[in-house]
Amino acid sequence: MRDMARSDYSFSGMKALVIDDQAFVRRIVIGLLRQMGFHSVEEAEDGAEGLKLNNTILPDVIVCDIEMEPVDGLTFLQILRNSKDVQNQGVPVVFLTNHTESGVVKRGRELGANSFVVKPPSLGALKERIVFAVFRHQHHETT
Amino acid sequence: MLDRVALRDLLGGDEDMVQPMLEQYIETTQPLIEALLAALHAKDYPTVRKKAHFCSGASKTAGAWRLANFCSTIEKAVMADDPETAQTAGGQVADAFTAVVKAVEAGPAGLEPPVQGIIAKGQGA
Repeated sequence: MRDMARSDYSFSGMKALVIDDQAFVRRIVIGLLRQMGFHSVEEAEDGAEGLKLNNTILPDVIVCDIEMEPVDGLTFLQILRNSKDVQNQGVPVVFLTNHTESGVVKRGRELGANSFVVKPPSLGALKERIVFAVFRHQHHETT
Repeated sequence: MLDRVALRDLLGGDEDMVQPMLEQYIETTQPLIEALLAALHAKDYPTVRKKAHFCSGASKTAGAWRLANFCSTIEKAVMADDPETAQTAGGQVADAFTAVVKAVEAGPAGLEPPVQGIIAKGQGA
């Protein structure tokens, strides 16, 4: 029942922001988000650029790498969730991770990451994690 | 060495996107490999770990599994304070990357036909 709801989920009116310092990985993730039907997908090269774009486009979901330079994903998330200068503070954030980053994943959860997906993300895995993050976010906003 | 099918699947089955994406992967990964090897030579292990991490992530995404495994081994070895293993795996990185470059340059036509490959494996067993 829940799986059916997830497969029927529509992103057609939604905006996504992809933050990754590797152009190659970014293009893959952008392609996956477009296949899911996102209305628009913007991209940033690191956490600093991601914060600026977040304030500008107010995305419905952010897919973010953790290890980036110069501003990494954890620093990005910390500022996003806590700075008074940042808009859209509760936006769902899905982190892209490697298996080697279990300690970092724990820290990400503490900072307020909504979900995690292991690189390289398949279409199915990324969609499931985004639906999970967005659905929970909308549920919290309406209750 | 290079799993084009995995990348094609990641791209939603778009065969036309595979070759340009692989060429971009080579272009963006080459400087990372050079930086990784330079850091290994200098025994600058914090930099080694970072560069190996980046190379591993990109190579897994591209379907360059062998190279990804070497990079992952290096990253884990540095995290485990095992420079010897990192250096040993590092010795394989240049050759693994060169093999990936050659496979990308050969393009889809350079692939062994899957059916023939399966028959050959069966006959060899």
